[in-house]
Amino acid sequence: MTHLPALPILVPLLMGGLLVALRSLPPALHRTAAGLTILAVLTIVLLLASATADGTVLAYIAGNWSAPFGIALAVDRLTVVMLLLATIAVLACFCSATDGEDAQAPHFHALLCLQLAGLCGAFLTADLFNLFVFFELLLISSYGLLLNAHGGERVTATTHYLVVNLVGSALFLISVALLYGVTGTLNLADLARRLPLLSSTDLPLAQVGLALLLVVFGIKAAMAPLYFWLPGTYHAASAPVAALFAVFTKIGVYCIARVFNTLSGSPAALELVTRSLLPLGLVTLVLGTLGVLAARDLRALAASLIIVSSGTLLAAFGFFSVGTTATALFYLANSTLAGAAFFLVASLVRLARAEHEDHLNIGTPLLRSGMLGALFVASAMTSAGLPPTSGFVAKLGLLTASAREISGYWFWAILLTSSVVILVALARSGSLIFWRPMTAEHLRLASANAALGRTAATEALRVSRGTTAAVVLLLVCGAALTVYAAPVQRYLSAAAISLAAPTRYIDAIFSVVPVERRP
Amino acid sequence: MELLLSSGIGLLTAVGIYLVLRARTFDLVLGLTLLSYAVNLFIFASGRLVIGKAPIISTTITPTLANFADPLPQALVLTAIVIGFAMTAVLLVLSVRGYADHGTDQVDGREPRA
Repeated sequence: MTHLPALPILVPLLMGGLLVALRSLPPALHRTAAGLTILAVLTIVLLLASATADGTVLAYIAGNWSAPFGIALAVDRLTVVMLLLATIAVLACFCSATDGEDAQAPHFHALLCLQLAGLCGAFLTADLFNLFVFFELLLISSYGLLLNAHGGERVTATTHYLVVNLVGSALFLISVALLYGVTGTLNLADLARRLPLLSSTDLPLAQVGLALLLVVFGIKAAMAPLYFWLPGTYHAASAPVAALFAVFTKIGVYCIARVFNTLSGSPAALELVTRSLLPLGLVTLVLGTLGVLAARDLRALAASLIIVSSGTLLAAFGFFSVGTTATALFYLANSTLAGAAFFLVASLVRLARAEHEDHLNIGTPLLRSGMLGALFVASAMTSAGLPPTSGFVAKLGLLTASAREISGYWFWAILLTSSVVILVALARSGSLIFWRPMTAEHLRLASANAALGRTAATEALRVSRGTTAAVVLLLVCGAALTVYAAPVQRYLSAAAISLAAPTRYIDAIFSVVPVERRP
Repeated sequence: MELLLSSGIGLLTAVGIYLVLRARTFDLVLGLTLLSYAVNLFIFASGRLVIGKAPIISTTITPTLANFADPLPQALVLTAIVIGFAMTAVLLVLSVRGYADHGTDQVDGREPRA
């Protein structure tokens, strides 16, 4: 048994603990340590990717307790994709935070490491209670990152976010207890084996437990009507943290896909979930689109785009078919990158426009904003799904796959309408910020500055090199998704097939033999 | 005993939800604490209610659940208590900071308009 699957959790967890203990070390050292940790996790994830590329499921039993008694971790292709996305998001957050956000609070990098450990744990674990523990780990570090030694608006937003998640945790524990009460196990693989054997008296309890689980994951995934925490939280967060949070809703989506697909062998217990996921996703999509139209500043617009992508994903997973799942995974990768990039671009625009921040109104003109404008256009096009970006490939795939499904026409109608609305909203915000007509007075002021060789736009990019690098990193990853669309989609289709037929995942967890200990 | 425990859990949950829905941070802290008590008792009950039986297997008695208490929910409760405790501490810190910043314990940081 190799210890590789446990490393993405252990390495950042240890480093996070160390950094908390060694707080007196100079900030530059903290920064280096965190950066190296993230790169180490990236390397481990790539190793895991090469170990599972042929469809192998790597299972790991913590503490040498064989399944279903101990906690099991399992890595398959889907897990690797999620780990990779999470690490990229954390890396983007790290790059962007080097502009000065990490100097605001003494424990920023420690929290970032713990956050990474929590994210990796939530993707790796195959045990429901352990999933709860990792949720709490990533949440408690996200409260710290969100607050980051600020007061005022952030305290209010963090309180809201915290309370919503605490209530969510209570529901999670209730559903875990219900499932344990009827099946006597919390191991995902063991649950998948025992749920179909339930007596008809226990079945309603299991149904309620699984429906509660959908509510809990729905809170994380920003599913309607449970997403009201999201706009306020993301609006209050600093740019690097908001970019990191772009991966948060995907945890909920991943858990929905993983848990309910692994348990799909017992359709009776899952009936409530399978029926409601598609309609709930579509409602989320509609409400998120309305939010995009109503947004008054770029950050609010970016937050609504996250809700839109969540709605699209939930609806696509709601078909519970291999075709839509495969294309939804491509969309998931694309929307995580695009969502994070958009938040960072919004922060650059906010910096450049000084007193007008990122409000969608006519302000001081942004002269010589070619680079900033290009970053905005690229991330907006990826978000809206215009060719030749990966957003277009993702949406095209989703539409093609859903055309084969019953009630796919609802998905078509809503997704296409929402795309047009998003395109209009993004075009409007872009032209307001970069292209609007300017008065003679505005122009005189701005060109006086431009004569000195610097404008607000170039100045903003110069001050925030890290953020610019993070945006470029995310956009390059997006471009790679477009260029390598065919191999990526093949890989994701294989991941979707093994997700929908989880026998291999289940068998792998049970087949790990504990290591023999010799005295 | 079943009736007592289930009505106790129900009462704690009801009071907890009522308090959580009040928009004051002090009430929120109390409400979430009560809610987590209810949840802890509920997890405990998922291992079935038994009296006077040990959760640790001894060699002299046949190791079936009829002779022992289920140890797993007890371990789960312990974890849930610790995590709930930490989260309550974070919420308390936030509440105090919010009160200091805004001068009110209203969760939105401002008094509702009358």
